[in-house]
Amino acid sequence: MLNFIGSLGNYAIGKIASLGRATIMLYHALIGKPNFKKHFGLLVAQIYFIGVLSIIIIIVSGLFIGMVLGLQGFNILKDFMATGSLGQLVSLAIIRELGPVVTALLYAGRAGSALTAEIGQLKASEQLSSMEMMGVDPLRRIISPRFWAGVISMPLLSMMFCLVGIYGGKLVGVDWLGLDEGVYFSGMQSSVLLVDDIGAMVVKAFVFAIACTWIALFNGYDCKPTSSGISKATTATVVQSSLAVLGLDFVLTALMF
Amino acid sequence: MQQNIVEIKNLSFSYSGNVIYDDISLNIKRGQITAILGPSGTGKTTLLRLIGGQLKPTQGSIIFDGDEINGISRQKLYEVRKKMSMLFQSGALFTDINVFENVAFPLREHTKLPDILIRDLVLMKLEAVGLRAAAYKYPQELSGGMARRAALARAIALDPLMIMYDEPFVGQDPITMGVLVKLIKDLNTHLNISSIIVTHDVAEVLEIAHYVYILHNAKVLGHGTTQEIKNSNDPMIKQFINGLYDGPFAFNLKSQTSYIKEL
Amino acid sequence: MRFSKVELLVGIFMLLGLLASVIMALQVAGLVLNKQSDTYTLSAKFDNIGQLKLRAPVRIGGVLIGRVENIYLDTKDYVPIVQMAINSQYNNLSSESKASILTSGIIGEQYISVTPGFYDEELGSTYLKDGDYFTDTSSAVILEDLIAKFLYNSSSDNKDTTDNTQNTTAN
Repeated sequence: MLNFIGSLGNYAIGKIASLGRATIMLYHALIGKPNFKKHFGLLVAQIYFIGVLSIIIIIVSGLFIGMVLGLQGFNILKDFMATGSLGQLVSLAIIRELGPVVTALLYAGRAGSALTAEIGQLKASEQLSSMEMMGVDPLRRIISPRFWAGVISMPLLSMMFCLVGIYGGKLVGVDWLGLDEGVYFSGMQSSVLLVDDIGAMVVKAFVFAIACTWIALFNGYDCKPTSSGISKATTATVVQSSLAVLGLDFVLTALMF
Repeated sequence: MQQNIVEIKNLSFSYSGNVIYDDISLNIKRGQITAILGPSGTGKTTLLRLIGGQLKPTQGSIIFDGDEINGISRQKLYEVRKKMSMLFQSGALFTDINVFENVAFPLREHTKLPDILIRDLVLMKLEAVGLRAAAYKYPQELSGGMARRAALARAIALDPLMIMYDEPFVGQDPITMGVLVKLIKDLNTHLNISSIIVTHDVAEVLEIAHYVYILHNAKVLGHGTTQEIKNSNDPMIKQFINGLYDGPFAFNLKSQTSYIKEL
Repeated sequence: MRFSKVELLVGIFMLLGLLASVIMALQVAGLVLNKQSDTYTLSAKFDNIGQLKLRAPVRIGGVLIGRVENIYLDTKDYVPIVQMAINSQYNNLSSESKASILTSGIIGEQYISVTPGFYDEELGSTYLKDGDYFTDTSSAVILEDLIAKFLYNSSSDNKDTTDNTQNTTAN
């Protein structure tokens, strides 16, 4: 029993310490003046990897989620003779919740896990170490551009997701089920507010971007430099990011709406 | 200008309960090749990481070129590291970029030289290790020996004061080994780069080393110039240098329980 | 100018993101650019605004002429005041016009319907200008009040209920 409590305590202390390490890592990666000239190219390359390569999955998911919402929403609203509110339903559901959350989950699965694996591999093959010994700080050379690329890409991806989702809903509701296009969009326009809804969506996307990217980078940077260590870290990234996104979503929703 | 490029005083280091070093002191002389010998598993690589500031000693001080490494600020540490260089056992080349870019990497990071000049410098460094022909190959296309030479070219890119070699001869065929030995020797004589070689390949390193330290059981077992070590009468040093099976060195790792009992 | 494929794609990515933001703002949120010059503000006092929301439509005979811009309480006599931004092309509304809060459908959103009044200079009517108030208004119909009215009418005898319903509507 005593042993159990002891190991529980050890576990907790270990977790708190790794939170501390994660914070220190982020601090060292982000402080100090950035060297724009040298690091801009790195940033662009990472935005390509994190953002551009995620477009397909984001757009396809957004389209289907919008279409499903349109279909389900139409069938439910039909019973209340309120199909005119379909635009409102689809747009608010996507902008307030599904857009940022699903984007973040997809991002964690596609980009986050890749970041963890990449950095874990760099660590395992001593590339980070050798960079350190060359007097190049890997936190600033490797971690920092990836972090910023994530923070820049995610809100844009989220925005694309929302837009595609709304048009996916329109495709089903208007083009297939015969709702009037004007009704779809005017219901939307009268209920979606620029700052309260779309602004909140961007804030959510930013917060999720920071959380997911941070978790991914830290898991890679802190992993055991072995094959199984990297695979564990990758799994941890996906699990922790998903939980963080859902938890943060609740907190942010409670704060903003 | 101090005579010693590295001074280690009363260094202790333990890692998760294991004592790796217990109060050792050693000096690395400027412009010389110093060999650090010891059986595998005595934490010789750890010593290099301690000098490079990647690990923090539990106790003691490490002075590199007049700067105390232990307790230095992070920023200063990165400044100091520009003057030293380390050749990793694996080479640790950046796998996503080719050999040329690998060698150019420290130059691009630390200097503002124009591309044309960097190109010339890189080709010079590659020529020095005989790999100019492989400049545009990727690390995974290189053999182990070539990768190590490419890593060496990268290590000398910034003309460091000191290079630390971590087991440079391990797993190399005799010819490559000879090439590496000659390279290390040449770099030392022509560029006057101080060198620390951590190894257990005694025969090769004794050909080129000026000074030798032998580590064993977290202590310095013995040290002296190559001649002194070769002529030493200490039975342990003798066994290690000559690679004898029989002697005071235990072949087995020390175990808590006796062999008979455990069986 | 030399650029790589990656740079080009990243540039396209950033543009797509920006474009998506702009479309979201214009099409989805219905943001009207430079609305300052396009609209003028009219206000109306209501007894009860019900579920009226910001940006709710203002209509004449079903045609959109503006949107609710601001809802606040007059702190002097504690009456809700609704400010509407009316498109400036509809600038000849008579001061006799009536603003009422209606509901589209049974559970739909609420909007303001303006019934244009007659314009007759001899009777002293003018056109409503920026900052003017609708004098004639009618409040939102509260579903609970209606139900209460209906229940009282059907269950009790008529004398009592007339008083009662008048009290409820006044409240």
